[in-house]
Amino acid sequence: MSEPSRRTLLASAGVAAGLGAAGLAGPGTAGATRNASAGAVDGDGEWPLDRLDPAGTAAAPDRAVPGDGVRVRWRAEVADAYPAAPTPLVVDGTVYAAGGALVAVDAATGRRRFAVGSNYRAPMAAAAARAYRRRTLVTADAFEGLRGLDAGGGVALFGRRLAPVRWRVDGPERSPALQLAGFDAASPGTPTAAAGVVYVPAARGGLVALDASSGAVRWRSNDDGPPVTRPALRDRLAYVGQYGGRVRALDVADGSERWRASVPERRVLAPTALADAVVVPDRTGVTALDPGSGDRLWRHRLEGADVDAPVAATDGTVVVATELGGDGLDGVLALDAATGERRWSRTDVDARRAPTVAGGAVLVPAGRGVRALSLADGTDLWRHRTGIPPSTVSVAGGRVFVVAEALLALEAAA
Amino acid sequence: VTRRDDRGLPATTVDVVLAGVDRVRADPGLLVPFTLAGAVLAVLDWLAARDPVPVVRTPPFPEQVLSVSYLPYPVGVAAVLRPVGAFVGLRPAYAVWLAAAAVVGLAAASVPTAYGLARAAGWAPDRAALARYVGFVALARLVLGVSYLRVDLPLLLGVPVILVVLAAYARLFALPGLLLAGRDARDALATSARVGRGVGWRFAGAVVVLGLARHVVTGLPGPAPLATLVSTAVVGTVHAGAVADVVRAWEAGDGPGRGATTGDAPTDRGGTTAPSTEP
Repeated sequence: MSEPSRRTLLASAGVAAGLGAAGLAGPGTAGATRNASAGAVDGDGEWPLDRLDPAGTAAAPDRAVPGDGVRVRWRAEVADAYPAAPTPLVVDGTVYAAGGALVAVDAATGRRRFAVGSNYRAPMAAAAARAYRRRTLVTADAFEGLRGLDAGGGVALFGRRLAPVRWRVDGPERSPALQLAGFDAASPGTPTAAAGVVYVPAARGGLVALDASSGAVRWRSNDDGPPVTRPALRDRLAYVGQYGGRVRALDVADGSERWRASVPERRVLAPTALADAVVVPDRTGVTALDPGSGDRLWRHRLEGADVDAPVAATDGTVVVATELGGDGLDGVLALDAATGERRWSRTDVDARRAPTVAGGAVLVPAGRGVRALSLADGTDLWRHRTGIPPSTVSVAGGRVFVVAEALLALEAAA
Repeated sequence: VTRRDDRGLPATTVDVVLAGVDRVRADPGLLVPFTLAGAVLAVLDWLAARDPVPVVRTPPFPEQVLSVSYLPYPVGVAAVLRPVGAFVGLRPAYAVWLAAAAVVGLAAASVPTAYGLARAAGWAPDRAALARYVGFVALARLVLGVSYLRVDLPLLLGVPVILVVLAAYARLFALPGLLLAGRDARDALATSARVGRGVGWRFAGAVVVLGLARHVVTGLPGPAPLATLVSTAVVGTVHAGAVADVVRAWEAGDGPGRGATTGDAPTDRGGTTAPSTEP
């Protein structure tokens, strides 16, 4: 690979101007507009959902990403660092990390803006709120339930944050009604959001749609079965996996079921919705289904492998992190999104958490560190060691954000 | 027949409430202003539950079996309240909406209820008295109208807190009536405390009975704001009747210190119940 292209990897050179180490592009600045039908993520300065966009792609092929080694631009303390924390989000120039307290820091400088709560350890989603200037940050208190927070952290007064919580949906021990609704305060699923609606897998089964502004429940899918996964949203459908080998497509208007399909493995992971396929990882392979009918398009079986994380996927490539049990090594492999054929694989990467695609790189939390591989052929680009196993990374404004022993912003090495 | 003590005050908690019921039976027209207030407040609750600003739903009976839903002025239970965080960072249009709803809600909770309370007592409050009453309702709505005061306390801590709040409400029981009777705020506050001195348990009991009644109404079938309407129309009217009776009895009797501070007290000594002896 040539030197210029390795310094900053870009799928589209035109997007690079003005981005990178100079700072974060704010919302509405020049950048990529991608996956419009999947739910827009405008500009490359944001990472508002755990898997970037409502479709759950975790792929930003148009974004700048360090291509030839990284350095720590800044480091911000989190309240209570622990391994494999939730993915940090980037919204309106602020990076949010859930590490005991929910910590918000300036994306450009790493200066702490605020910290609220003491039990925020769940994945987050930032959603537009009709009644508010700032977005609602949806997460869960480990003991009580779902919370919709002001992304600005409420009101600052004498060094304290007042009224950061807009709405709360308390757990079953605090409300019999919510027990019926199926919320489990301690283990709500990863939320995602689109068009001002937050979708949360209920621990006791089914999907719940809430208004991001008011927290009011819009609908609950009619389901008494096992818990569903984080949904992938695209073209007015929410695709969820469900234990027992089920994949279901729900209408986002009312939660009614459009179709259901099955995969040959009981443990199903969160799907990713592409333009032409719904990609569903399960413990022993990856299956692509037709988005309109649920018919199987292809399946890639991984002999003896153990997949434990959702995939990252562009319209051309599906990246899977897997423990390849056959040789005892963990690994990463890339599949052709149209056929399911293997493009490349690495069995020497300790990758057990969800990968991210940005620019021409695959970014993988690997052991105690983050590794960057070439999306084209899987070759090594760079590696950054961390003190504890890191979170899945997010990429915005040319920087890589990851939570490990602290919240780190990585940028291209000089 | 309401039993009364030697000062003419209702002799027991039951008598405090029955005195209110008697006032309503004697003048069913009292229900009209409170029904009007309840209807407006119910519509506001209905709208609040549908706008994109968060609300906290009042847990209805019997989902929450026991709850004392009391306010120190005669209206019913609110179907929803706003959490304090709901007010931070609003878009201008919604800030205007909340401000407008607050003004309409205050008007509905104060003007018809002032009319009803004055009618129950036979007063004709002047503008200054009405303004003081509206100010009191505004202050109460400001302090009690958002949900952060609803806290779940552990029993050991909760019981003392409840007792303190109950004692405060008992001392404030007569306050809205005294304001409408023409006393200034400081005098009304002091007099209200004196009215309850030594017999606070009667008024504390009335607070519990009226609060429980408001809560039980939330168990009615139908949309939640229906409870706002019914509890204001029925329990609010009885509450107003009870307050009117207590204040009338106090003003008519020889309450301690009354003569020193209430030179402008109303002279109408009429009433709907006859004094009786202490049981």
